[in-house]
Amino acid sequence: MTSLALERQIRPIYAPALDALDTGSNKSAIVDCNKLLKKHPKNTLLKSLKALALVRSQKVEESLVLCDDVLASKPTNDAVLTAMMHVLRGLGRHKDAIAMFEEAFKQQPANEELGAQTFFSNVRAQQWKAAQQVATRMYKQFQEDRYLYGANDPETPANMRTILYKLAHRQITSSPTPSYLSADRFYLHLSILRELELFDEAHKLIDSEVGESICATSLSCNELRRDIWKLRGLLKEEGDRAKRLIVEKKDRNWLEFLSVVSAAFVAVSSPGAGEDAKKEASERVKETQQILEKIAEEDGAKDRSGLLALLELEKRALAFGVSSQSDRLVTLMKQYFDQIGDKACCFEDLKPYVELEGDDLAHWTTFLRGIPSTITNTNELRRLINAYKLLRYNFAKTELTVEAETERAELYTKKYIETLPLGANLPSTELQPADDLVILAGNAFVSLWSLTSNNDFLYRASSLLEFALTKSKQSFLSRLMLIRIYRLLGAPSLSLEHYRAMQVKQVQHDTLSHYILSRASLFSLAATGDITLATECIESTQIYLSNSQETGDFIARAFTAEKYSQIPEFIEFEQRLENSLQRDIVKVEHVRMRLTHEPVNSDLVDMELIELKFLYDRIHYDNRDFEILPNYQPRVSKGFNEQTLLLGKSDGASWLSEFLRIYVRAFQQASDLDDTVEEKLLIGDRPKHVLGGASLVDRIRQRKEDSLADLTSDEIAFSDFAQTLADWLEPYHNYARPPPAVVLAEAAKQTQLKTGHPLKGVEIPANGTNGTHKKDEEPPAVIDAPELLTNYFNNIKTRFAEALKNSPVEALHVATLAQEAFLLFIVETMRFKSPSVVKANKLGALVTSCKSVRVHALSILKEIATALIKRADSEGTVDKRKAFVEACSVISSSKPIDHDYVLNVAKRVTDARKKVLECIGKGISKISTSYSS
Amino acid sequence: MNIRTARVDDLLGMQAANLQNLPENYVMKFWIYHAMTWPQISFVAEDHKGRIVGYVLAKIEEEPNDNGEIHGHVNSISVLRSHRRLGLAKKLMLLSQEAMASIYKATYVSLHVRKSNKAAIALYRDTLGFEVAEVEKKYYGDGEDALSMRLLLTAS
Repeated sequence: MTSLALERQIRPIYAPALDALDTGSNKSAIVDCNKLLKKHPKNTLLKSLKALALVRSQKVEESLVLCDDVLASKPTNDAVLTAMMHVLRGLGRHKDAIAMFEEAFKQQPANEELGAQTFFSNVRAQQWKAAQQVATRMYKQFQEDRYLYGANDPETPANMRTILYKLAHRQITSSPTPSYLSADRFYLHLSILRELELFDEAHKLIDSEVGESICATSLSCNELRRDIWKLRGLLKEEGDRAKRLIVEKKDRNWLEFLSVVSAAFVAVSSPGAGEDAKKEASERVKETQQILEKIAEEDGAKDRSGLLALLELEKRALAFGVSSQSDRLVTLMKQYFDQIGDKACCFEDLKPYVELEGDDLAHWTTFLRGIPSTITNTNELRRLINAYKLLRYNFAKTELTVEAETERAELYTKKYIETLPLGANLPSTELQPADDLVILAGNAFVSLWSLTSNNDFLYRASSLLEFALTKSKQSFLSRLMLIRIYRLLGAPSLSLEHYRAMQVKQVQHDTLSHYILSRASLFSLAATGDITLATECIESTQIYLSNSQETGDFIARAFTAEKYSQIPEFIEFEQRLENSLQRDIVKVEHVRMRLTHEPVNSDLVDMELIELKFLYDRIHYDNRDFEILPNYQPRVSKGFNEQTLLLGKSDGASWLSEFLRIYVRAFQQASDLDDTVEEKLLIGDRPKHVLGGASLVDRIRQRKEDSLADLTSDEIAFSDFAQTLADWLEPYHNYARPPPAVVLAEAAKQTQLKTGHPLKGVEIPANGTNGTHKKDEEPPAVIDAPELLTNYFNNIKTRFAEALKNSPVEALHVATLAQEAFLLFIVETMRFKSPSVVKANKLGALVTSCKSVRVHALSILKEIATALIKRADSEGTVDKRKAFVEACSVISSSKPIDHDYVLNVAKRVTDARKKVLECIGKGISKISTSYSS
Repeated sequence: MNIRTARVDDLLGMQAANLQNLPENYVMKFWIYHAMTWPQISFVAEDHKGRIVGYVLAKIEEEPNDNGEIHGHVNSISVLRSHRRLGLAKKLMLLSQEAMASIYKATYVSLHVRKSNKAAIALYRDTLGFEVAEVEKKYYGDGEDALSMRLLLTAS
């Protein structure tokens, strides 16, 4: 066959193979490759394509053989290199990808494309210094400015950023077409100059006639100009310019107004400003006031910028002590409310100014109380809602009594029902104008719940919000509140239903999945085989995979298109997602669920150990969105978010750090993989070691005390248990763990059996081993199990009884932690289950000790399981539903929220609660049986 | 209210606006691609806290039509409910249109809108002067028709 004919045959495999994540065609690609490989056994492109299809079918071991084969041939062919780049990325072998491109570039030093690929592969693996070296080499080779880098040492992304900008700067200034010929390039030029702090050059550009005219018409260029002026300290000049824009050009962008306001205080802004300065500022404030008043008058209700700027001016004047009239702020606020009160944004607009006290507060409150509450149209309704929100925001602690809050909740509900007809004719896709009243009522009910711990208030909130959703199907704010409330009520399946109804997509998985997955293992039914929540964990993390694929490609594309200045933005975005706190919290939750669902064995332990180790040293970005929860609680009280956190604790960075530490340590002890074995056996790059610091094993031995702040008291007890257990067993693990050579030999034997290929770089000893080995030193003396281990389960028993009285969620928390402690114990003692290991290491006494702990734990777990199942029986009954409905009678006394409607909600809540209690109970019982011997 | 050009990292901040208003979400890839290729025609509106309350995401159709015309396309526009009735959508649209015409010399701008979305249609047609070019049957995932609307951009 001619090479042309072969190429024709490969093409249909090649194109779809490079379509990322197209798993459907992998199988047929493998078949096609095999066919062609029979005729062309040495063809490296076929081999690399087959390797890619194998990687994508999760057949990692088979692909490794082909992959190493291709790498050994030192490919330079473009198609092979591209396919291999995807193979190596899939395997996490970024360093090998760099080596491959470097080798190819070395072989063909005149090939510019290969040089660029070498550069990208370094950038992708964040090898900044190496990337710079490649670029320098390319500059020498091709004499092109684009490869000329600055003198900075790019060991950090920050330095890389500077370098990329310098590159961009050189490019734009050396271009024969000046940047001011298009706004697009002018913008680019300015952003480069700002980044590099070349302010003089920037100023020259802006001050030119063309520059001025571009800034006057292009919003983006003007934004940069403003930044540059401010960075140079030209506050006064900026204020004057903004004033002209506002007055002459009718510009109403808020930043222009802020510039005008800031300029009034230039004299008093520097420390140590005296009376003269105050006098000057006070003059300027008066002038500015006049200008703004005129604008406010002209614009009326059409644009609120002028009025808002007057408020901002007065607030700052008060802060600097240059206000001329003490009650002016309240007057302005009233004026603002009169003009803008019928817009939904009024509350948010006024929030920064309403923290009043004394007489001011009294005047303001009286004013708001006077807003008419008889409603005939939506404008009046919005005015009333804004008044309610503003009043509520300023309630003092003494006004937050159960009676007062109950009265308010009832008032908001009543007004909601009354004003609902205003939106009767809206299409079903629209939101109801009265919705905010329900959200206010929901806030008040939750506030009552946090005052009293009485679930009746949550029943009311959920019935009301559910009803509101039947009227406003798209109201995600009601859904978010319900998600939180149902979790508090121990009805997680209803939370999940609402979460799914929001159709969370893309990056939202990162910012919003915490609403459903935070501490989700306490609701996981995985032990009974229901892996709904575990699957939710996996699905929510797909975004991170597509992020690393897509953003990497875009970085390369931006470089090729010479859009250097955008690369730092992409890198930063990729980093934020790649190192997302939520991503790793979900990972830990998934591990906790997985242990209840799958048998604990060395495969599971090894795999999770490797993954979790990666995460421990990560610097995390917290992208979780809590702001999106509607919060209308008084400023002196906790916000809605804090009030509705499950178990009252947020699972932030320190929570993650402690749970990672617990699991990495347990898995590390249970595993036979030490660093040398891992280096040989594992595919992909290892996490970077912390320079000059102690090894990971040493660092995870001790608990960081400050990391306990996010833990509940039950979780702290669990952490104590884990610590004691690991400290106790460590010497026996270290003694009994087979030496690296033995582990490697065994792995090589297994690989040969499985794939038919020997394991690269590992010799199998001729005589073989049977898993045991001679030791030079005596085994460590066995000491009895520390008392804390047994006591832990005794305490759990007491704690559980108490928690069951408090709330189903608390009971589930304690019960699932007991189960988790038991499973951790199984992980830690797995090694000592093998009679040959025990015999060879003379650890018989240890086994006896372990057994007594296990038997004791099992007896308590069984009691807990029985109690949970019994409790489940008492849920979902007529009585429980009746109690729920009665608790809601205050909101369902009349139409449209009637008895039947509430009964339906009651049924769903009590059924959901019954199910989770029952299944967790059964799960614990199942685990107890599985590990009973 | 401040309006500025959109950046890549706004993607995370736009989630609230998205949740509320966009039943069919665009994928991340598009956003990044748009931000990279036409950095000056997509805008966001932020409130005094810097929280994004509205945005317009647009692109330039690269393939010129038979008459050799280049045109812009609005992929999505969204304003938080709490910040409606302030003329934000109009401002965002005008800025994008202006940039399309002045920077990329686009001759017209196009967009798709749900047939049932009366409020949006009113904005496009009555306030901004768009006209319906055609009806695209079952354009949306749930089977609803889309109106394909257009507006000629006069060179400014």
